[in-house]
Amino acid sequence: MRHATSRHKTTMNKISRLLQLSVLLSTLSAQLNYAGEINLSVMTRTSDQSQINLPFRLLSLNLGYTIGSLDIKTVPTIEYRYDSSKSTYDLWEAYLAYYPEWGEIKFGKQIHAWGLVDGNNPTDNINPYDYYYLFKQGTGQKIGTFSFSAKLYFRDYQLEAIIIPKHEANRIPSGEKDYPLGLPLEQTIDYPVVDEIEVGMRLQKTIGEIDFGVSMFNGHDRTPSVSTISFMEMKNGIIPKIPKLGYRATSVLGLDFVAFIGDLTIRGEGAFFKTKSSKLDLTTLPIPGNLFEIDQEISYSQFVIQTEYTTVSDIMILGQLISSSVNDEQYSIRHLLTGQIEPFFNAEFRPGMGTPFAMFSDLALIVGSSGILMDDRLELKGNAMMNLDGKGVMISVSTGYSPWMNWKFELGLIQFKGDKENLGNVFTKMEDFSHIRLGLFYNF
Amino acid sequence: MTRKAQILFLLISCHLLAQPSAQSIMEKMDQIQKPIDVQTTLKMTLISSKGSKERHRSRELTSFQKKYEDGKFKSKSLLRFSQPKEIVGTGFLTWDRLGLEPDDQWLYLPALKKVKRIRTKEKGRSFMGTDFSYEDLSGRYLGADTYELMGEDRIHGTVCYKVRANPIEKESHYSSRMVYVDKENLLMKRVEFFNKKGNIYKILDIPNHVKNGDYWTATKMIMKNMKNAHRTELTVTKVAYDQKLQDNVFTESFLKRN
Repeated sequence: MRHATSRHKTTMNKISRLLQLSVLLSTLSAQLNYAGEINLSVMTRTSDQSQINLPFRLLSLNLGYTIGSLDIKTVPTIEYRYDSSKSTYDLWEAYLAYYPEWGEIKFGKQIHAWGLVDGNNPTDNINPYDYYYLFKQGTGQKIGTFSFSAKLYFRDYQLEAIIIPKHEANRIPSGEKDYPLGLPLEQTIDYPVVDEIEVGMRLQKTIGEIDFGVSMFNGHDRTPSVSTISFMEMKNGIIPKIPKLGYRATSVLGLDFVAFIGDLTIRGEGAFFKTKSSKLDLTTLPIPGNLFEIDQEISYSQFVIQTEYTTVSDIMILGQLISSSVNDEQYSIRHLLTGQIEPFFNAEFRPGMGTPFAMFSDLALIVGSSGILMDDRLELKGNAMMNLDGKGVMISVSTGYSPWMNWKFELGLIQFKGDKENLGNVFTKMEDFSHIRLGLFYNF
Repeated sequence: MTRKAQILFLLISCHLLAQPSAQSIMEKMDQIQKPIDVQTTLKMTLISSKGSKERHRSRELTSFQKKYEDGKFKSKSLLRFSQPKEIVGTGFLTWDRLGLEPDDQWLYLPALKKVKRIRTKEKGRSFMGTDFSYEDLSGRYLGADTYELMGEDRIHGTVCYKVRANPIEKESHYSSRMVYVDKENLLMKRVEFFNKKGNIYKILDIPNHVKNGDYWTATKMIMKNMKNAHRTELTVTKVAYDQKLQDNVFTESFLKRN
């Protein structure tokens, strides 16, 4: 009898443990959240219908786990390319987020979004850009960077501080015959960043129906530039230059706002950049006798002004003016052994920060329209980017159709028209990249 | 005056005096016991009709709402979409102010990782392609309208007071609303929305209410657009009251959590 009771107790204990485990598991699963996207797409040139072979994000998964005020977020992705059938795994984001009463604290590999304008944000320099995805919208064109951030919400104020311990650079395609903005060969960075810590701060204030933002960022360019030059004397007397690359130190002061005037929404964003040669790590290099460091100090600015209007049927019409200008530039070269300084005039300045679309033109106008119709089934988008500083236009139209929930087919066209007499014009370089894109998306 | 006419006059006067005023009906409806906070899981179905054919498209969302008695806000609410997966995490926050001051509304778009403030003038626009406008999602302050009792009518099998609500402020996208209030339980059963031209524009039907403990819950809401034969149905699938939702649920910071 006693034996039977003890066996009964053991069974009850087992059932109780199983119940506790199932309760625990259900609690755990209730706090686990996920969303993902599978995307298959092909691009064919409009000129000769040949395929454009570039990598694309085949899978991205948003995995989150919540414990009270703490979130754990990871976004693993798989990138795939058809020509080599090669897939690459990447952990796009992986961070911890804590939400106290006063705001939020985040730590880990993450993507930040600064600026009040849509798409082209000169003040948004926290994350590097992935040039393979330059024509993607939203955070899809950025690379997650390891950072610590804290945001404080106080009445109508928002104060955000970001610290990045390690410098990250833009991903610029190299050796890609199908990508005109890429580089012929992979770049070797001779002078990696020495003082890697980067700091950013942003303050936003709401006054009535206007939001204002002021931001500052101290870091290093996301795109490399020439740091030193070697002059080599050849037999025939020609003195070719051997440039070596590094990253300039850049500080950014940003201003942005959104205001509502009548039926229009006006968004504006401006950034003032000051960039100069950064400290070079020459300890590991034997300094050749013909090595000169480029001393440069350049100030430039980028502005974007956007006007948007939404019709009663929810079609958004947008106009955006992007301007980029160099305000002041000073160059000299300094002999690294003798310290002798000489003026240097042969420099071509390319911004290492700011909106990537500023490289298309110093003054461009974007007009676009987008709308979602038929109860989310049909999505239509159209954009035209016109170069106001010379010849060149980019036209982009796309349509997305979702016959069933979580499935979408997309058909898009990007057409560039440049200036045949100016081969240096970015629009001309991009002409051969004009393509039709066919995509299938499944969200789960 | 004959004796019969005197009696008739007396009866009519008594009837008129017994009828509550439109203002008092709306006040009583406003005073129905409501939870301090409520969390609801909803299924939203967009229905378009072409002839006898109907096409459905569904979304799922969670709504958090909290009543405030701090003299500044009437209530705060947060909506977050969980289906379809393409828009999962999209959130909408409303701070419903007391008085005639415009409400504050924000929309979070996870694909951009950005919170966009919705301006007051945009409130007549459709909320994410539904037949509800941003204005419909804001609660209505009792003092925001003047009321007229227009009689009685039978709606969804219940006898209702028919009250016309005329907005005081110019910002409203409606010229007036006809509100049908259940005489017995003082629950809203139907609202007819009139556009600026005075034509009927939309009809909100609330056919079913269920009493859970002390509180009534509208389990189904149907917003019908009279212009394009389109409608949006909201069905409550889960509801929880007085869970002591913290104030930080109704912040921009929480809006971004998905």
